[in-house]
Amino acid sequence: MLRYLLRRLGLIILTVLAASLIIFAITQFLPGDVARLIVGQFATEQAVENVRVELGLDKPIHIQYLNWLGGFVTGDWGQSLTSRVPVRPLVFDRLWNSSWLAFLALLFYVPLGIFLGVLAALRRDKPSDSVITAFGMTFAGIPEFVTGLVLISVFAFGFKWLPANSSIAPGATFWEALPQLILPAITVSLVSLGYITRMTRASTVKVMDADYTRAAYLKGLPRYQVLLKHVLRNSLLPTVTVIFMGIGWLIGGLIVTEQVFGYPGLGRLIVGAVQKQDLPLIQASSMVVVTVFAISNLIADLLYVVLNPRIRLQ
Amino acid sequence: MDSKLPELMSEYSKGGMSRREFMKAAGVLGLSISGMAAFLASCGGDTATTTASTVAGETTTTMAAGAAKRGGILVHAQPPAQRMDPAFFATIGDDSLGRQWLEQLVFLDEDSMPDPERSLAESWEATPDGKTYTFKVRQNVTFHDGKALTSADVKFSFDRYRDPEVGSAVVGLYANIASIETPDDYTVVFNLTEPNPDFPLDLTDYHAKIVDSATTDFDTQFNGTGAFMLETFAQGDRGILKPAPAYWKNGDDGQPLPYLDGLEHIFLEEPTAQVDALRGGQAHYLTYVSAEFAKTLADDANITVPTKASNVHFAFYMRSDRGPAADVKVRQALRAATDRNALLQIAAQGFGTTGRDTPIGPAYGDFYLDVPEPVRDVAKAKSLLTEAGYADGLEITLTTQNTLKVPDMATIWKEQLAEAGVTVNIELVPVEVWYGADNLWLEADFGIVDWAPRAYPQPYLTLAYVTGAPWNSPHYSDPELDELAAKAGMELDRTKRIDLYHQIQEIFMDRGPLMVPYFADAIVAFRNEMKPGLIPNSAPDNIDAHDQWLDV
Repeated sequence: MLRYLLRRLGLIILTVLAASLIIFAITQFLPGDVARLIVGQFATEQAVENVRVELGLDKPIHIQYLNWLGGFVTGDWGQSLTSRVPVRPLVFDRLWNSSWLAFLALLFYVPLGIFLGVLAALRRDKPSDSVITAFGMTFAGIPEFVTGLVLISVFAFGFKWLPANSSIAPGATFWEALPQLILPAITVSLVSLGYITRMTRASTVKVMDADYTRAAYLKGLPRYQVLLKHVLRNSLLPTVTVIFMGIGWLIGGLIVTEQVFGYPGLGRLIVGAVQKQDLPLIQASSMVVVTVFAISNLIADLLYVVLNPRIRLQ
Repeated sequence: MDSKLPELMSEYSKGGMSRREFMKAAGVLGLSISGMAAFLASCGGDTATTTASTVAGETTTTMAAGAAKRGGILVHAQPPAQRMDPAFFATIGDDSLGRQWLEQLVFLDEDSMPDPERSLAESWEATPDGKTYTFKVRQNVTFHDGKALTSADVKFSFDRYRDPEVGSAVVGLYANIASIETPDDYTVVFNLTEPNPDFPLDLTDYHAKIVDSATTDFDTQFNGTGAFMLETFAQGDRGILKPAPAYWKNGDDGQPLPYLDGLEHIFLEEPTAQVDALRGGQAHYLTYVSAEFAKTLADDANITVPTKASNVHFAFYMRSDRGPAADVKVRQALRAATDRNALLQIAAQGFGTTGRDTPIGPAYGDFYLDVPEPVRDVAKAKSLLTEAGYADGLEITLTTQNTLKVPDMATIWKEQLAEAGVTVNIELVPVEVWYGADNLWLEADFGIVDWAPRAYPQPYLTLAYVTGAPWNSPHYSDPELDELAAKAGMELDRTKRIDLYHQIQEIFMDRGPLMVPYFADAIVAFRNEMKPGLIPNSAPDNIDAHDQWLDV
């Protein structure tokens, strides 16, 4: 078990390192001269050169990479080229905000998705199964800006229950921010709900057809016990993986939802940074998202082990 | 781009051009003024064409009935501000936030005239030759840290803006300043190299905020003289402001302004998100509202949407030094085949005034030559083309940026010209390429360039349409225009200047290189609990919240 854990951990570190190489390489290919971007269009050539030397941009590319990676690891993430403020607090504030939204969305769609998936599997090929499937597919197919704007129209402008804009104030507590989190969380949930439902339904159906499930029934176990002890334990394995794979997306990929609601999450920060060619910000925030991806995958792997004894024995 | 830098800097005489983005540019400089300056007030101002009106057709200026109330936080939803160092302001977002805590030596009012009442200079005068300007600095002004404002801060600020080593975008604009003197603590003298009747207007440029001369880091030390102090600037998120401890102006109740307990500027890059925030009551006002949202907002009983004429325009240029449009008859034919109003209705929902194919629009009042809108005449276009040797039709390529309303407009124009036997091939390129390193916008035979408003007409001529001008997309060269433009730039007598600008517009209408479909309106929107509410000028950058209050 320990060896397994160490192996996974080593793999994760390798993944993050590889990603750092790719992120650094991609940002090198962005158009524009960083030194020129820093001093502005109208500065003299000498000013540009001074900045180039100051930032070590005159050094060989592999040295630049190592300097950057070293800085990232030791917590020196540089200054935003856009506003000239340190990058690290900026990224962490957004990461925090994104975590809230991700948490709430997971709270909505994971239990509901699993419940609907199992229900559909139990009612296989009955009308309720079809309804659940159609419902899930429809919402998974509608773009977030559509569901987002419809939710705003109905719940903000129509019923006036919830705010139309979700730009939560800095320093607000989770409970203060909660009304502003609900609509974006629902928007995100509607996209993922169908996916989780389908996954759960498919694997539950498969497990219910398995011999050991039939055996459990035959030895006279009550239906709920079969469901809890034999079916769910096995059928949720793929679902768990999918849920944790989704966390990286929830943290760094909710660009559209964040823009529609004006939510200050990490996704919007990255898009803004790319538009402004704010290299230190692009690099740092991409690294954070990659790290979140890696960690949530690690957790998924570990949960898999806990749920599936076969892996433990290997 | 870099190789052109020195040239651009020197020719950047009247400020930044609208290039990267229409909105960015729209904030850039300036405003439709037709006047010279308040110190020449005796010449008479022009306010005729720039009166505010609402979309709904009601009067805008719902001035506060009853006494102003104190308290409350006013929220503005705006495009993200990027930097707080005014020397490097680059977007309307920077200025919208910056003008709340920083002030200008010369303030431009709702009619785009300098207003000494709201300026840090309480008065100013010029020598008759227009080369020396003396400003009296207001005496009871303090920075937020308690330091008194003196002429040294003013000199420091402008010396910084005109220093090439600092590298602000206004280096070129202030290249004409030979020296700045401070005879005493409250007097500043600007000595100019060349006469400049528009100098006080140049000082209203949005970069030209007066900063504390003791500042060492302009991105983190926010010491201004504005009615509010900047407490938090969270990149990509918001700016939070608190009332200044001792602002120099009093409210109606005799107490110092502001009435409000604070401001919050939330940054929303998506126009839809801004509009939703306003309609949902999470924001109190928007500036630079896109025409497509104006009607929706005006339909909301809680929201007022004032508009004002501006000189924002799209110039459809035709290269006059090569290709088919080198023949003036072709240029006249393409203009004759155009239905300008159709372009205005479709691209700007009718929020604007049709153009007369000159860069000088109705927002400039007396300077604008008000002739009837050109009527579309396809038969005339065909006969002109026949005279030019294109009886069997003409095929042209219209190259332009794939952004804003440009592709829509290009398509409409293509359909209009097709009826006159002109085949238009549209070539769309990303905006970064259009204004990028290869400067496609200065190369293509036919193209569409977006222009920001300017405080007065002269920059359009010197930047783009006199012979050899750095941004002369059509490569136009007309000795008569050159001479008239040179005269107009230095003419101190307003009547003579009006006449010069009228002659210039006649040249554009007769043989010029442009088709200008329309001049877009400036549009703002605010919730009715905001009092007295917004009165925009032609680029709504006169909007600071020092005297606003909330009626709740």
